[in-house]
Amino acid sequence: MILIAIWMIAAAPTKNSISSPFARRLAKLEAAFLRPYRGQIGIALLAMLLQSLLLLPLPMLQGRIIDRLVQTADGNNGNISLTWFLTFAALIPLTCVLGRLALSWFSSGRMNHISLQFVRALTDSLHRKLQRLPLAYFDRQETGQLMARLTNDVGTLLIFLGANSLQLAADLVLAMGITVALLLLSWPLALMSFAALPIFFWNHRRFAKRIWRLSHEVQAQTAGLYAILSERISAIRTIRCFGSEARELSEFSPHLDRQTERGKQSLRATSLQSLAAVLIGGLATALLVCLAAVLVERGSLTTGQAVAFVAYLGLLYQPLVRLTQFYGGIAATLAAVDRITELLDEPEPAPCHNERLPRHVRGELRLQNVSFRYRSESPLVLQGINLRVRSGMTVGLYGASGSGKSTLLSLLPRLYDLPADGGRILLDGRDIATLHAAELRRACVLVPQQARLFEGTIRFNLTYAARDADQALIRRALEAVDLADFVDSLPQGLETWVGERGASLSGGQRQRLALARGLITRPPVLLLDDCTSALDAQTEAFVRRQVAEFQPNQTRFVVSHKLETLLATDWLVVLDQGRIIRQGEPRRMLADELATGHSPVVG
Amino acid sequence: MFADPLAKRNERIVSPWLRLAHLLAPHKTRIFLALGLATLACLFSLAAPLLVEQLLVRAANQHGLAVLVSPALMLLAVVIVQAASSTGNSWLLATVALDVVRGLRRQLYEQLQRMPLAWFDRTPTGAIMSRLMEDVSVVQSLASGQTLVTLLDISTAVAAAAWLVSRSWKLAAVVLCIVPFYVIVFRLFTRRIHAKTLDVRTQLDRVFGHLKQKIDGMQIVRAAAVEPLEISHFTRQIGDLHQPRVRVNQLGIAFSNLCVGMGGIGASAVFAIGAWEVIAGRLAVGDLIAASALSGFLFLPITRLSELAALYQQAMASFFRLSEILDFPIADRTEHIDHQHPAEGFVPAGRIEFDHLDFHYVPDRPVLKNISLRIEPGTKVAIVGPTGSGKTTLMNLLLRFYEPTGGAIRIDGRSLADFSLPALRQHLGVVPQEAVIFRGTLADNIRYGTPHASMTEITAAARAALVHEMALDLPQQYETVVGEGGHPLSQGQRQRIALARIFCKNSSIVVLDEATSSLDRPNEMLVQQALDSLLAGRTTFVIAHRLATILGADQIVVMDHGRIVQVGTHEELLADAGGLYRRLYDCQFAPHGDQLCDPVPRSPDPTTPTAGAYFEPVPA
Repeated sequence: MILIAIWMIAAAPTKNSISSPFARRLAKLEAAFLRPYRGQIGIALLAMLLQSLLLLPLPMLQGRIIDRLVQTADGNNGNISLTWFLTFAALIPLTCVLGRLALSWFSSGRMNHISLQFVRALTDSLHRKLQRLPLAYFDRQETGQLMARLTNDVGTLLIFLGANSLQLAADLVLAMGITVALLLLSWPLALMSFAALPIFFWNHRRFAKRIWRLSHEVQAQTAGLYAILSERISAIRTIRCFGSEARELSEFSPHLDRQTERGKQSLRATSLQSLAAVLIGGLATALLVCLAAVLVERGSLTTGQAVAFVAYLGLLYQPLVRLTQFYGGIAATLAAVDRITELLDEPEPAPCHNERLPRHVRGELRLQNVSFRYRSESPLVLQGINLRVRSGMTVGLYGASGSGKSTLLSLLPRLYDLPADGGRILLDGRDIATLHAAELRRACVLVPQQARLFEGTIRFNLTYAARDADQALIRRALEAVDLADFVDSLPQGLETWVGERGASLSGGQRQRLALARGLITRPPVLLLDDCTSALDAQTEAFVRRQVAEFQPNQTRFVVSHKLETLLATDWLVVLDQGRIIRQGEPRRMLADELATGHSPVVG
Repeated sequence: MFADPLAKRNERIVSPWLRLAHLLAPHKTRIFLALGLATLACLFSLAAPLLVEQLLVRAANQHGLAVLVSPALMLLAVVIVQAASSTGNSWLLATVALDVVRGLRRQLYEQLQRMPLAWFDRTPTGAIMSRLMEDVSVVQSLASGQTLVTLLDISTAVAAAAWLVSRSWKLAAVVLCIVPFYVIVFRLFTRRIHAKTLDVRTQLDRVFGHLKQKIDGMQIVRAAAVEPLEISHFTRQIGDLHQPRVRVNQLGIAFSNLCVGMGGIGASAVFAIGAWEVIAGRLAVGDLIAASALSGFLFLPITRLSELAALYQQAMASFFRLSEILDFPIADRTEHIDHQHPAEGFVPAGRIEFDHLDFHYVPDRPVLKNISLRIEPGTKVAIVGPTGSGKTTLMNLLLRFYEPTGGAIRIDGRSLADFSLPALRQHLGVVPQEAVIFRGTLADNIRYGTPHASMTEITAAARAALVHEMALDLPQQYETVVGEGGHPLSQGQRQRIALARIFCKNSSIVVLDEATSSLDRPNEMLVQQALDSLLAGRTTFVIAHRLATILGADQIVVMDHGRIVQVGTHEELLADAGGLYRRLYDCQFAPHGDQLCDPVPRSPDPTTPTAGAYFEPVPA
């Protein structure tokens, strides 16, 4: 209920009811992550409270001592006994201080642990969520934006959840206890001091809506910065190629400026709110001090009592003022929570069927009237595809750029789901929509067009999808793509580091490594999307032969523009604007082209 | 990772204080104003307890209400001024902090544009982002009102201590006794906090790096069905982040609690001894009241100082990381050129000469060996060779992405390094192997190299690159957003857009690095025709594997294992039956290609040119 309570304090301005979507998301977040720590938070809160309570006796004590001193100075009472003095002036305060030290240390430490555990679990959950989301989701997102959710937004949450928030909570609870002490000391003054509370609340409400809105914008702007940096730093070579460094800077600056502007606007609002709060607290205190002085003058209040009263008053107003000063942080936190829960609530594809594949997959594929579009508002990329592939066949896919070849390949391992009216794809007679995703993708391995490698060694990249590949298999895969000699020539061989942008390898080497990464999994169905475009004719022919021999009886799809590659297939499919316009034996289909020496003409 | 000689921690790291001073300098006015306000706030906050004392003492003396009026009014005034000035101070400094952060990010981004590519090659993007976003944020929290207040509190503390000394030296002695304990605690904690913070940051780099790569490469992750592995990998990573974070915070908590504890003991001691003094008649009651009020001003600042010290250590760790970028020694000779040859820029129509060029990314792995070549202006040069032979690297050197480790590239006799980079790159049009499409409109992507291109020019370029029809099919035509999160594009479409870029740029030197590899044959032919007409008369470098695209080249350079093994025209090279070129040609164009492309073990590192090649002799 902690987050809900915080939200209640902050939510009044947005006029959101308890049942609003945000409140529900907040409750879910809390239930998922904070509930396990309820007990510990309770204990920590208790410790904080005790710690604050231990602060209470001191002003009273000091007041009493001062009174006795005044009395003694006036010569009214006798001497102050040493024992009394030592107890009240030394022992008790010391105990209080040490007690406070221990309690504060304990509760801060607990809160530290809890908040970091919370953040850790939350980040992990967010990542798991990302791994469950379909690929289509990522096509609509900017990488930096997603990164910002897991780093910046979670970090904002962390800042607030530290010990400060607990202290504030404890102080607020304490304030309620203080009211009792104040009433005991001087009820007329106490009642007047309570009059300031509604004014605090009004001040809070007045600015809250604006601050709330601005906080959201600041978080969004920051995420925007992440997105730009993510894109532009990756693309540094292109920037250099075109010599547009100066332009990049001049395009980056406005984003920085916007973020700073929002931040300043938010600052203005929180500062004004804070100023008002401090003024309310200060003026109220001052007025009450004057009143207390009057009462002392009248004799209805002793000096000591007055001193104590003033001290306690501070303890009453201080948390309220601090709450206001915290409000900026609270609003930012809630904005961050909003963004985090938005990601957590992103709809996932229903894990409907999870049927397993048999041990031996024949690799027989059938596409029945397959149609596909990437987004509901986009045109169809594939239309009415009917294709039957026998086990062990190598199918060549040819077509103009944008005719749907890569899309077709990515549908086979179900990287994208077919729409309801988009036909069916059958693997060994079973609808792939019903199959367990991981098993399907191990049976149907795609080597994409763009050879992307990860930070890690060559071995890491090579065995990325086949962690249990043994040395012999690794060697065979490397030989098949003609990289074995190259790797041998490297001083660290397989343990050579490959960077994120793969600069230590040439384009052709990267492509071959990515191909080997697919080969090494020895799947029943291998999908090669133009995997030899960066290779010279000689190497390409070699690789082609090796791939065919690597795993006989493997069903293969090969996308290519090269005549030689297409000729080496068993069946050629020609795509045009998402439809199959021709299919048949390659040599027969390409007979004309072979005779004239021209490349295959579409349509 | 590459071991780059430039990578060693350089000695010229700017002191963090100096850097902070530079960052704060432009905002002097606001800082001084804030300082003034903070001083005002501190003074007035000192005045408040004294006024309270006055009020209560006068009230206790019961000389009537009239005497209470003036301190009361003063108290009200003090409260108002104090509130306004302390809030004003925080506000001003917070805006300064925002501006400092903006300036710092801008400075970092600018510096990134000048960092050598070799540095980017070995630094993951995530680590760079972590620095620009997270480390800079830490600096922001340092440059805040709290810092100034804490620093001023020290002076308040000194003032309070001075007052104490004037009233009772015994009380002052109490305070002095505590100081050594503070010093010990400070020293104990600050060093540890700094070290642990660096651990946290390094680990955060890894988390950033992981997220960046794996989100970018989500297709690979999905296709390999390794989500469970990725999840456990990431869980481990944030677990590794968790421990140091907990530790840093625990250190901070211990630090501040100890200071608070010592402060509490000190304040109690001051009160106790003060009371004793009062009993003994050496101190007035009023002084005791004031002393107990002031002891807050004495010990609270020290606690806040401890918090500031902890924050400072974290900021210093971040500054250290930022200095890796900001203080990187950039060997940029642009300034140099401006002094010497102010009027001369780059002459695009010059003759290009590669003179005994050597290059390696990593010391024991040479990539280019003794490359010598002469290219007349306006000619088309094709560079062919097996994968990994160094073709792209050669172009990278021409583009001055890297500096040669031996030899030089000259234009009209002048070393390439003498020309200013902006001038050089302005005259170069490049279609790289992997085309990068930015998030933005299609039109913006096409005009990337020529910001002021008109729509007419863009459309013309699009037509030549066969992008125009494709553009018309898009939902918002040229204004359709493509790139990350935008309208999906096929690889071939991306490549055509990259080609459209150079059609639009119309530069004097063009480098095409397998620019049509993803295109189908018909498109390739059409684009080739457009290219041929565009490139007539321009110096062109074409790297391609499809020999059909390079047949018309004036000069074909055959590379293998980082050396030039053959140079000549197509006919000349074809005549050499035993040469690499002939072998590659036969492989591609023979009727039953496969038989002639036997897996011939490629010649290991030929050191002598094949017979009949037109080739500049390699000096022994």
